[in-house]
Amino acid sequence: MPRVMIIDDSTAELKMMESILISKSYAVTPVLNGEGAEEQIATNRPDIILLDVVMPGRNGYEILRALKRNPTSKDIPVIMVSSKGEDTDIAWGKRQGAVDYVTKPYTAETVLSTLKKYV
Amino acid sequence: MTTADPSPRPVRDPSSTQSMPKSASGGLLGNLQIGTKLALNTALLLVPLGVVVGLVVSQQNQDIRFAQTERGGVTYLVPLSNLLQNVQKHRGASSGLLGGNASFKQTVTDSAAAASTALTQLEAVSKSGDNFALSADIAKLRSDWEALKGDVDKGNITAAQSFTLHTSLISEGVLGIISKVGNRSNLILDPSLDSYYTMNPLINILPNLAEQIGQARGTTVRIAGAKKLTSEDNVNLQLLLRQASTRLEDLQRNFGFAGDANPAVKAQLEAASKQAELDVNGLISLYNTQVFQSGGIKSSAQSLFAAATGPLDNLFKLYNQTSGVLDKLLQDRVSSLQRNQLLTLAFVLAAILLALLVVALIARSITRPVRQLVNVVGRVGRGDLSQQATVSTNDEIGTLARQVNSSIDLLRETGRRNVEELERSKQLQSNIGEFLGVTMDISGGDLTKRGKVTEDVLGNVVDSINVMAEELGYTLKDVRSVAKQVGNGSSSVLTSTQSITSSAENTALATAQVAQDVRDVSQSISRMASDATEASEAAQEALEAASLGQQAVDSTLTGMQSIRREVQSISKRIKSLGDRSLEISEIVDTISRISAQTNLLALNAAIEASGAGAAGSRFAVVADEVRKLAESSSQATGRIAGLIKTVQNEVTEVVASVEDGTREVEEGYRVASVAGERLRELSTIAQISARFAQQISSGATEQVAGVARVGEAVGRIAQATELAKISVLEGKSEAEKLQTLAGQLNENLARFQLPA
Repeated sequence: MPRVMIIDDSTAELKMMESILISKSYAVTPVLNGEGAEEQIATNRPDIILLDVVMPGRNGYEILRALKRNPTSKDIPVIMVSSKGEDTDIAWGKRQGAVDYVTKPYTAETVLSTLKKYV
Repeated sequence: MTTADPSPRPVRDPSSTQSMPKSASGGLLGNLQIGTKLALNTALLLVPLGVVVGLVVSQQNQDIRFAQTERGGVTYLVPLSNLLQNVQKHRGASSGLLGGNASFKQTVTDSAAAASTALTQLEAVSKSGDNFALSADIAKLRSDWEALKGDVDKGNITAAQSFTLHTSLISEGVLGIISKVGNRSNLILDPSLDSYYTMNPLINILPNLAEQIGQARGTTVRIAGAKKLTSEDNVNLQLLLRQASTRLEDLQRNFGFAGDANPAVKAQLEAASKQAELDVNGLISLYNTQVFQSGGIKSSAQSLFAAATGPLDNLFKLYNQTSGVLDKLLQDRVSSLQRNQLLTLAFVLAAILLALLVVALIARSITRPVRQLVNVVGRVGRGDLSQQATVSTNDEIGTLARQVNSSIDLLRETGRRNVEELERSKQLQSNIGEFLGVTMDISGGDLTKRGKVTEDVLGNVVDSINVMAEELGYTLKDVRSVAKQVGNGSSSVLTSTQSITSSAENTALATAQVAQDVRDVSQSISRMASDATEASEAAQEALEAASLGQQAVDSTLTGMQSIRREVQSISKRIKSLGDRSLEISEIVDTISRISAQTNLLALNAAIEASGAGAAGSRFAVVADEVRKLAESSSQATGRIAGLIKTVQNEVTEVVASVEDGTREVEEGYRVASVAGERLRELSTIAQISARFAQQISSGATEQVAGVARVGEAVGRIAQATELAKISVLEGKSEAEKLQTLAGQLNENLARFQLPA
């Protein structure tokens, strides 16, 4: 079954997303604030990553750039999941290397259908 | 506006209503409250109403006063009728008296007194009630009466004169005053049928009727006194009687009209008119019999006087009664008018009060909602959006209130959004401030600093700056490491140029050395050639020795092979010995087992035997013997086993030593074959060596030539080395420059803090 890594600064959000994904038979690796994301990718490589933008410490864009610079992780498709939903935000995310963008608040259908495109 | 208008337009009349300020027309009214305006409306409407009511009341008052004035007039009538009655009596009586008939004296006196009383009453009425401007008339009447009365008393005048004077006094004085009273007291204008047709007899008909009858009485008295009826008198009397008849008909008609108009007085008036009819017609018929028949007047003056006086007195009684009826009618009219007036006033007042109440309610239904709205909107104006208008009517005010409420909602919503916007922009401002701090740090040189990516639109800008700083940092890091490498490279270049230079010098020495060595080599090569020849010869000898050795080795090998075969067969026989011993050992084991079992059986037998008693003791002895046998058997087997073991051990040793011997033979065989190989190799080598020696020898000659060429080449190397040295020095200065640049670059980069 495909593995999804979700990175967010809210445990509630992580839990909610996890429950949606598990109900559709995805394996889930939640990573709070992106700490230890690179190690997790090395040990248990996900097929796709859902990445929040506004986080304390390293923000989503920083993490995205780091992922794209790292040869082990640069081919994993990344979908940004954020409440920043302006056109400029979406364009910027895609510029940094994200393949798609889901704005919060999201519906389960939106998330799942977007995931299906890349997994 | 003072700018010139390029396109000409008709000039507006400044006094036209379009340019007049709108507030001018509403200036006065505009300052009033709605409630006041509504009250003003009501008040203004009440004004014409009041005027109308006033007019009505005034008209009513007029009517009342009219009737009251009539009543005032009526008060004159009784005194006047009394006066008329008595003056008439006086006239008649005076006529008789002055004609010579003394029987009339009492009547003259009585009637004079009664007339004076009536006159006094009249004067009193005139003083106390409405005057009707009759004071002069009454005064004249009084003086004329007094004069006439005096004349009659004195006997100054004739009967005819007295009659004329009386008649003129009556007609001008009494009847005149009656007429004036009728005119001036509004009686003659009485508006009601019943009172009019009651009044008309009193003012116009009855006085004249009475006067005509009175005149008839007087005439008949005179005629009786004269005892003859002249044709003039006849005509006059007939005329009087006819006039009286006509008057009577008038009277009856008037009373009839009054009775029709007012059934309440009908009976009384009918009775009155009937009585009058009787009186008058009776008199007329009496005159017809007593006066007009031919044959002369038979009756006396007294009786004729009395004949007329009865009906006359009845008429005056009728008059006074009718006057009472009229007064009552007038009184009733006054009361009714007054009552109507009160009712009208009460009704109007009630209607006005009701209307005012309704107006007040309507006004309140307007002003209260308006005031509430004003209150709510006032609060909104002060910034208080918490209240809503509670007006729920369906009129324009209700609509306005609903609009106001939705406006308040809109204001609240806008206010909330404004507050949110303000919050957002405050947050943005603070984020910008924070980020400006970061950019200052980055521009100060700390390329590890990153701005915080926030929720608002600034987030992406911050991240783009972050990306820039990141890339710049990495780039500069690369640059720095390259600079370091360059620095290192150029140092090592310098170091190596140093070593190159020194090695170039070394090379120069070395080439000199080499030249020398070349010469040495030439010599040694020559020596080598001769040595080679010697070596070739030695090799030949070695070859021969080797082939001899080869033969010896071969025979050794053959002898070793036969030894090996023998040893192998011995070894085989020893092995079979071993196997036999193994078989023996197995048999021994079997015997041992049997003896052990026998021992066991014997033991059991002994035990059984011990139990079996005497027969058993013999068996026991036997068993014991068997046991001993078994034991010695097992001992023997034990010894055999030991012997076999020894044999086995010795066999094993022999086998081992035989195997050792075999191994050594093998080893010797191997060594011998190796030696054989070596010898073969040796011979091969010797052959090759011999060939090589030959080649060396021939080669040496070539070598010498070659060495000479080497010498030349070395010379060229020396030259090249010199040139290299020069270019190396140039390279060194370049490397030094590079190093300086690298150092400068590092200095420039020093102020940046770069990522790890």
